[in-house]
Amino acid sequence: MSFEDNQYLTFALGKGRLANKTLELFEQIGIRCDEMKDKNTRKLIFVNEDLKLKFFLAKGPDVPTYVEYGAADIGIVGKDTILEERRNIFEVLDLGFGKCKMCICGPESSRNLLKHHEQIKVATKYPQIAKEYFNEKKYQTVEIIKLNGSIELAPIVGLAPVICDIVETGSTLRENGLVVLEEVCDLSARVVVNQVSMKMQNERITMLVRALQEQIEKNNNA
Amino acid sequence: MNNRLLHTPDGVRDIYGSECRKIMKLREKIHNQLIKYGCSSINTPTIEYYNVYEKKNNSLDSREMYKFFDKDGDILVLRPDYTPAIARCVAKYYKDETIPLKICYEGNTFVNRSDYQGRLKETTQCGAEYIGDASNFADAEMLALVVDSLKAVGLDQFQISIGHALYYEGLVEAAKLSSDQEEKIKSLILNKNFLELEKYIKNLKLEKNLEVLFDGLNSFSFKIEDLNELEKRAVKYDKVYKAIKSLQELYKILQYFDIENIVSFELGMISRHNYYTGMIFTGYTYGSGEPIVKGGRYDKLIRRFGKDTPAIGFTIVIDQVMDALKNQNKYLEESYKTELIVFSSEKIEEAIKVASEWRKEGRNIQTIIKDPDLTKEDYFEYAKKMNISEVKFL
Repeated sequence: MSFEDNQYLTFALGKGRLANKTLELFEQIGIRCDEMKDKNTRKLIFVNEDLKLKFFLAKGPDVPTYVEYGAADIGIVGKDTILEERRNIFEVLDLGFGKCKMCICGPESSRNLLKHHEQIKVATKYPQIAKEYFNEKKYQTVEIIKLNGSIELAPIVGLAPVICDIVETGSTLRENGLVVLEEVCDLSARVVVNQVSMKMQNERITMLVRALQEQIEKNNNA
Repeated sequence: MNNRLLHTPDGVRDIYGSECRKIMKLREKIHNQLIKYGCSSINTPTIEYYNVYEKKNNSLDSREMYKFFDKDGDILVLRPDYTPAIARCVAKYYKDETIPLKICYEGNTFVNRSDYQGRLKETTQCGAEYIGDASNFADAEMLALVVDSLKAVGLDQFQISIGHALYYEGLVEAAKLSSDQEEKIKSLILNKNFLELEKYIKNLKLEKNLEVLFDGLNSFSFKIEDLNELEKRAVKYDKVYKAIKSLQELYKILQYFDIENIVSFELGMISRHNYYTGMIFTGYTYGSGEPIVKGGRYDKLIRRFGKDTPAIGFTIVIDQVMDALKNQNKYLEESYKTELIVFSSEKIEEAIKVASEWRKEGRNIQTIIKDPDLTKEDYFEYAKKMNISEVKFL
C-alpha cells in the first residue's frame, strides 16, 4: 500500500463460491463492483473509483497472508483457513454463510481409536487444526499425514484410519461408507482486518462492518 | 554447487550499499533523540540465559526463541526482546540507586518464526526505558520521546493509541467473570470483534455502569471527552477508576508537551506482553502492516530480578519504520557520502597526497589504481552502483 492511495480500501476475497456470496452481500449494502462479474476478464484487480475501493481474488489460504502484510486491508475467508494459517490479524465479523463443520471422520470401525489416548494417524489438509484438536482437546498424540485433496480416500485405501476435514452435507462421506466421528468446530465465512488498517482507517472499516452486520440480520429475518 | 555457501538462512538477510547507509542514518537520528532526553546508552550481550526470558518475564512462546546449550549445560537464548535484559542490568548495576534512570539501546532481536511467512526473524530495534519513576510525567515524557523520534526520521502521519492494563483487569474483577467468560471476552477483544463483543456484554446482564465501561473496550479512538464521561461511571470500581484517572492525568501533561493531538485512547488494548502493569501504547502509520512502536509501563518486572522499582519503556522497530518510509515515498538520507579517486599507477604519490589531504578535511575518499583496460565510463558506472557521489581522475 503506497502512501498516495492510502485512501483506498483494498479487499482480498477467497476465490470461488465465497467471493460470489460476498459480492452479493456487498451489493445489498450499496457496494458494487461490476467489473468482477465479467467471467471472461483477465484483470487481477478491480477498482470502484466512486467509493475508493479495490478488490482482488486470491486463493483462500493466501487471504490471511495478504491481510497480515497490509497488502489488503480487509479479507473475506473461511474460518478453517484462519485457524490453519494462524496469522496476526483481526477477525471482526461472522458473515454467516459458507456454514459447515470441521470434523473427524472415518469408518465406524475407527471410532474406538479415538477413545484411548493412543497414538493415531490422521490424514488432513489442515495439519494445524488437526494437531491442536488432538493434542489440546483430546490429549492424544497424532501422526499427521498432509494431503491436498480428496481426503476421503485416505481411510478407504488404508492410508489413515481417520481424517480431519470439512463436512458440509456429508453426502460424499455416506457414499463412501464413512461417518462423522467427532466434531471439531463450526466454520463459516469471516471478515478479517489488518491490524494497522483497523487503526488508520478505523472509521470507514467500522462503518462497513456495521453495515454488513445489519444487512445479515435483515436477511436472516426476511 | 552447495547453496549454503552463498545464501542466508530463511528470515535473515544482508543489508548493504545504499540501504545500509540509510538504516545507519535512521538509527542515528533516533538515537540522537533518545540521548536528547537524557538517556544513557547500554549494550547488552546478544546471548542471555534462558531464565531471563522465561514465561512470566516475556510474551514469547519458548518455541519462538532460539535456544542452545553452553558447555555447562545451561540453556541460552538469542535475545528476543530487550526489556528483560535491561531489567536484569538495572537490578544488577543500579541496585541501590533511588533517583530515576533513563537508558536507551539499539540492536538486533531474534524471534524464531515459522518459515515462508515473509517475516524477518532478526529485526533491529531502538528503544528507551525510564526506570524508578511511577509518575504520569514519566509516561508522558516517554510518549513525547516517541513522537520526537518518529518525527525525526521524517514520519508526519502517525497515530499513537494508549490503553491501560488496569482497565481490563479491573473490569474482569468487577464483573466477577468466570475464567471461561474471561477467555471468551479476551479473544473477542484481541480479534477486535466489536459486534460480537457488544452482544456478549449485553448477555452478561451487568449493572448499567459496568456495561457502559465494558463497551468502552470497543472503541478504537476515544477522545478525552469520552474518557471523562466514563470516569463518572467508574467511581465504584477501584481499579477501573484508577486507570481512567491515570490516563486523564497523562493527557494533561501531554498537552504541555503539545502532542495531545497525536494520541487517542484505546481501552481495549491488551498486550501480548505479560509484564505490563499500567499504561500501554502502540504507534501506527501508513505503509507498514505492523505497528512501528510498542511500549508500556511494567512496574513489577524488575522486582523479579531483585530490585523493586517501577519502569516504563518502548521500542521502535526499525525494519517497520523503513518499510513505512519507503511505502510513503519519503526521502531517506544516507549516513555519509563517499568520493572516489582513480589514478594511473605512475601517479601514486600525488594520489596519496590528495587523498590524505581531503580525508583531513573530513571527506570520505576511496582510491583505486586505474586499470588501463577500463574507460572512464566504467568507473562512472561503478560509482553509480556503489553510491559514490563524485569521481576524480588523476
